[in-house]
Amino acid sequence: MKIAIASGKGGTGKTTLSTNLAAYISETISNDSNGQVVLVDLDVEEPNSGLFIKGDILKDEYKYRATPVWDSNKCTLCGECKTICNFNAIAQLPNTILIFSELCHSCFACSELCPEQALPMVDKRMGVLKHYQQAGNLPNNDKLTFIESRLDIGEISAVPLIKQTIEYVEDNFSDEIIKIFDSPPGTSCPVIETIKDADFVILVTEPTPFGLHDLKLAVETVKELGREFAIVINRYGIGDNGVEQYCLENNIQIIGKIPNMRQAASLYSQGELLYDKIPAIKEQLVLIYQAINRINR
Amino acid sequence: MNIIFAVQNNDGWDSIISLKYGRAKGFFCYSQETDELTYYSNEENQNAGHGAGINAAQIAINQKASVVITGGSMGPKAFEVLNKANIKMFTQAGEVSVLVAYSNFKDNKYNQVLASDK
Amino acid sequence: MKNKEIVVISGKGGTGKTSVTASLAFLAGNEAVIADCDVDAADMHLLLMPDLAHSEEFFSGQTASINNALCTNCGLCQSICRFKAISNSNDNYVINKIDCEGCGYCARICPSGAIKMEDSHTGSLHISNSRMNNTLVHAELQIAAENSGKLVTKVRQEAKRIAKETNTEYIIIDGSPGIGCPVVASITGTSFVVIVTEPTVSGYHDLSRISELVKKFNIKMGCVINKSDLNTQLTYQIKEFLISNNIELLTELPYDNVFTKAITAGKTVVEYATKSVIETNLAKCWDKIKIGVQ
Ligand code: SF4
Ligand code: SF4
Repeated sequence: MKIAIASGKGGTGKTTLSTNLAAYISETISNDSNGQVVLVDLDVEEPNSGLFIKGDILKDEYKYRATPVWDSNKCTLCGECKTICNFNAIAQLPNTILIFSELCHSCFACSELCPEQALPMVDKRMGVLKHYQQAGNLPNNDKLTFIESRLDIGEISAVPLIKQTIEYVEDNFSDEIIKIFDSPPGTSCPVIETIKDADFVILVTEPTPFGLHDLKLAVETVKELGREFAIVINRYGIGDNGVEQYCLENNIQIIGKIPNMRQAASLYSQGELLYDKIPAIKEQLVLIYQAINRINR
Repeated sequence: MNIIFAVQNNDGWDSIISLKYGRAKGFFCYSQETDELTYYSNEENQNAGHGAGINAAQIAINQKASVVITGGSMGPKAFEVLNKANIKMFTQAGEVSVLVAYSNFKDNKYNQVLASDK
Repeated sequence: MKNKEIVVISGKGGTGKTSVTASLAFLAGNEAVIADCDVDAADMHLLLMPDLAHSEEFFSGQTASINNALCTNCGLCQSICRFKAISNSNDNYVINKIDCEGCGYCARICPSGAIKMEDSHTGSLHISNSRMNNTLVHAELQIAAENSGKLVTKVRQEAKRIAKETNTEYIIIDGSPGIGCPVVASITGTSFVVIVTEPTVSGYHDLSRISELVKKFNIKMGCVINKSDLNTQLTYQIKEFLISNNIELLTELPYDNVFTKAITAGKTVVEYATKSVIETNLAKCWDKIKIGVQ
């Protein structure tokens, strides 16, 4: 089961919810010998779940995508490739073909349509995937696995790395295992990639006009993708009741209300998990987990 | 010799030089041999998500230019392409007319750019 | 007069960047044109209440579409598409707009010319009069659209044009989040970068990443430490970091629910919390920026 945790804007507590929920679930399933939960940080441009969840590194691998390289011996400088590329990744100089691999979207068009087969596709590094076991700051917790991917600086699109990270997770963990995806903020392509195949999407928001405005965009996005979803309100108690009003009017389920507490902000600032120190937050995670189990059934 | 001027509008010798290269509105190519000034629109390219500089550099190459003049900057990708194509770049023109930029250039008032801005 | 562009950024969201920017916009009044380049979460308009005097649509990139009347069901397009964007349902080939990258490969090879590439609508741009006696240029990105930095560039261009026409000295930009293309587009060529940070592990981490990026552009930087009393030890470390990196400390603001209360009331925090330390500090901060940018 894939659960994507997303939000319209950054800073609403997406990472807080993902890390605490994953750690809480791993604790509650500790007596179940087959139980397992996987936390995946898909905010590959700035992954930071790792600041809260630590563990032993099990695997560390580079991720690649294909981009063309120019074979000057075969090329007749016909210029086809330059016309073909829709992303301006190819320039034709008087005696050279110049390829800007960071602009290449790996569509293979130039390579397969070059009349001289002068543009073979070759793997280029785009980022790193790290797989941690026995993660969680809890002693003897072997139920939580943590995976994060980080995009190399200068790479323009996060989408191929997100795609490959999800594939990695699917190849390594069976379908019934709960997987929590910490998505990038916003409603653009990387978010879509993260939530488009999720079984359930949790949208985290704040009870303020900013939160509501961005939540509406996020709701529109998940609806367009036809995903099942529900809302968690973070910093509940501050602000106004606009978000609740909106959810009520649109028949959207609120599955958790994480209270606004200075203590939470202060623990967060130290890179600490919250649920094991603040009972009021744990209570909410219990409710959220129950909601997940209802969907899972 | 052919000279490319990045411009903000299409008004012949009175057009104003663009501060940017890749996302300039258009280009004038002046051929010293034939004394012709020809306009090439770059508006489609202004809408490119990425790589506008590369496409703009391609225009200069296709016109067999030896020199490119802009008002203020040259992005890293355009620089790389133009540099490899041995086209000289001058970016200190400011927002003056093409005519003024041309005469300043002839008077050697500009220094050739040897590295990109970024 | 040369316009001075001041951009406010933060790396990750949630540090109070928009609250700070909107306060600066209020303090500046008609001395500045405001540009909201945080197009993913464009929230400034909720505080500035613009009148949407002028709007235009915005296109970027392309998407393919199949004309089923011309399609002979040969299936070639589906076999070459690397993005799995083409599927066949009831003997009709269809393109999933969300998966289509716009590479144009299918359109190029379709033997019956049934595939067309169309420009995709990625957002809208607005130019408004705000309730603060200044002009706001803002934009919204279409859902699932790519924020390539192009819309950001366009917003800045418009703001600059208006500042020139109206002889306005400053342009205050609410920058994009992250460290990718959009943020690069929001800081290139500006005169001063204001980084809003908070003393949290992730805030500090983002501050170091983002300041490293700004350094490459050789632009003067100043920093606002928000919620500075949340973790005094980290605040201390941040200050050390600022000194060793030659970043001016513009001001510190306390952790206070008044930020949220102001947003809820549709006001900037300087209007809402009058005579508070927050108001005084932000006013001083604006003065320091004005000096710094000279
Ligand atoms: S299409 Fe092939 S042969 Fe033609 S210019 Fe490009 S690389 Fe050379
Ligand atoms: S693979 Fe596609 S995107 Fe990449 S260079 Fe070739 S045509 Fe351009």
